[in-house]
Amino acid sequence: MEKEGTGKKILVVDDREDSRVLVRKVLGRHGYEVIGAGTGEDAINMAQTELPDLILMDIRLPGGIDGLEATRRIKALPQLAHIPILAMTASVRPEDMQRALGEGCSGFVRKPIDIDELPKQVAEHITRASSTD
Amino acid sequence: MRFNRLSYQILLVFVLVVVVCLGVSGWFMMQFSENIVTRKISEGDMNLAGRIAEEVAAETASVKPTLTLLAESTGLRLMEATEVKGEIDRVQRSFPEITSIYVADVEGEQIARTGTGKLENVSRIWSFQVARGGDELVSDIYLKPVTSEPMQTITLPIIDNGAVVGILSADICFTRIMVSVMDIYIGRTGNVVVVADNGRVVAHTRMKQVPELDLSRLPVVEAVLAGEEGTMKGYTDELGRQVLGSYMPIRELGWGVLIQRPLADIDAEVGQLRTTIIWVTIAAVLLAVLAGWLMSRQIAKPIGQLASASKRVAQGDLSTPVDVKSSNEIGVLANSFNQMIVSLKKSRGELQQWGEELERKVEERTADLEQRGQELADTNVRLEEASQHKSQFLANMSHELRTPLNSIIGYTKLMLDGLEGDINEEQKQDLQTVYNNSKHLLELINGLLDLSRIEAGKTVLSYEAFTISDLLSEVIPGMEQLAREKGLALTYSVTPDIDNLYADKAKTKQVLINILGNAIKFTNEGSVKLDVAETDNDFVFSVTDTGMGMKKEDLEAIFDSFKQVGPAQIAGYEGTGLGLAISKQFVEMQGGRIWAESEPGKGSTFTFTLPKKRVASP
Repeated sequence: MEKEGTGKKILVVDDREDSRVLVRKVLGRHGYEVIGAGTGEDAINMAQTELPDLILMDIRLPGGIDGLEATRRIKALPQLAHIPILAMTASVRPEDMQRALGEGCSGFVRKPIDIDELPKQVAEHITRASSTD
Repeated sequence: MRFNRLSYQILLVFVLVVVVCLGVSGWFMMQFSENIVTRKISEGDMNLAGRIAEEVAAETASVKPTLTLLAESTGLRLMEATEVKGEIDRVQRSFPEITSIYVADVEGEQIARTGTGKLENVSRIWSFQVARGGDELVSDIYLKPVTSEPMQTITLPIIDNGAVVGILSADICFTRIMVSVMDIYIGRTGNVVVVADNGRVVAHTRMKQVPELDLSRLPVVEAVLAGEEGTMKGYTDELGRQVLGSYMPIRELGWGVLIQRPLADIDAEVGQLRTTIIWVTIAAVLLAVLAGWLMSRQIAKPIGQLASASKRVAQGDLSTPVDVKSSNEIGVLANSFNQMIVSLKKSRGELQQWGEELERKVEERTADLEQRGQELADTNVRLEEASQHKSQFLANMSHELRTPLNSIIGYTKLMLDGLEGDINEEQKQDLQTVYNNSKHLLELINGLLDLSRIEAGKTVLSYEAFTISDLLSEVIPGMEQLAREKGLALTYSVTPDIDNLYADKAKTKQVLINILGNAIKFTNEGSVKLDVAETDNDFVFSVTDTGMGMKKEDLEAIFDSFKQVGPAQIAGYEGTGLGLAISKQFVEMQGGRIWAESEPGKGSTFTFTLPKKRVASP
């Protein structure tokens, strides 16, 4: 049986490596190819070179470019604008969620990650993005 | 000119008294005026009559001695005609009342006579014969023919060496004596009358008007000739008038003097007196009114000044003292009043000082208060900032705490699900414990954040209308699963009438999940039951379990977040988290109540109410 993530590339942007690994492990089981970036700059560069099917973007990132800024820049690039981005955050403040949606995120993923829920969310957003193309 | 009431009152009393007194006295004077006038007139008339009587007596008395002296003079005894003529002429000139004198010898031949008349023989005249005999003769009073003047003739013998050598005769005209009497006018129409001893008129103010000279019939003449003096009123006099007569006898002559006044004259005088009395009374009244007015002013003016001064003082004007210079009681009063003003001024000054001090103190306090208010405001701002910092800190902190939990929970779940390779049962149980505690820690962190948001007032209620079945459909399935996993029965009942709620759905749901979750968590066997009912004012949600129950003293403490006994210290209730504290906040924010009833070993019932709120448009 072919897994639903086969052939799909996910870019996970998180400054913590264990978080990136956790996502890779969870999604990898579903056939996704998961690549990771630790900073906003890396995320933008990798998005351009790798052209992932979906980006999981942690909102808080160290350095000059945080997740929201990175999302804004990626969405500003025509060849990347179609890529669905899910905001990831440990924050429970509703205003953070709204700001993320405002910057062009398709949805958000709460940390701690629900490992049962995450694959479903990812699959749904990829499907929705490809159907609107 | 100011009239105040006091001066009017004084004036009124004064005028009344004066008018009454003067009126009464005037009335009496009017009543007695006739008597007074009569008495006064008769007194005056009696006086006058007395003087006239004396005068007449004196004048008539002087005539006879003069003639006697003449008769005894040397010249007459010599009977030298020229000498005799010189003597008698001289006497006649000296006594105008003697109208004529003649001297005759014993034969009756006139030797000399006054005037220019022819000498005659008088031997046949009776008076000559009497004198020839050596006696004096004083005739009765008779009227001179033509002029009707009352006359008297005195005839004396001229004696030389004891023998009669001749006679001297003189005619005396009383009219001439009485000239002075006849010039006396009594009142307007009164008159003086001198009557001789035979009752004939000797002198009369209106001699020519007297129709009958014999007045002996008049009662008043009878009285005076009888030697009486007095006053007689109301008889008819010789001129036919009703008169008041005053009479006085001339005792030397046996004559009488009458002064008669017509009663009409007296009445006129009485009338005049009465008029005078009236005018004097009126003048007195006017004078009294004027005096009373001046006096009342004199009295009332200082009182008025006092009154207006006290009015000024009452209005707070202490600048003008009373200007009354008097040593009487009013002066004393004014003086005391001025002293009072002085002490009032002083007290007012003190009061003002006090007031100013008070004001100053109030200002100081106000400034102080303002400063404190400002400080308070500053403190408030700082507290606000601190509170925001705290919220920010808590938000950051919960984020920071959740980040490692992300890995702990995620990796634990990976292993628990066997995705990292097979694990034995013991490892699985250990990992489950790690997982459960991690989840609990996550709940605590979430609760902490919720509470801080509630305390910071950042939690806003958003009311909406929803049905009980909506609410239960979102809550019950998850709870049923939890209950099933523990082998418990979860039942619920809703009173049929209840349908629409109007509340904050999300928060109500959170409360319901919390108390149902607790009930399931702390019940190991038996059942958990949810009842939804209503009272007049509230919806009532009750969750009853068959768990271990609680001690009474803990029933309230479990709703307190960090006060007194913390939830973790309640035996058997470790791990309730902050859920009940948050539930309490959410229920109370919506105007409801939450409480628990329990007995150790007999289960618990948690109840919360929500007030029925009217939906604007169902």
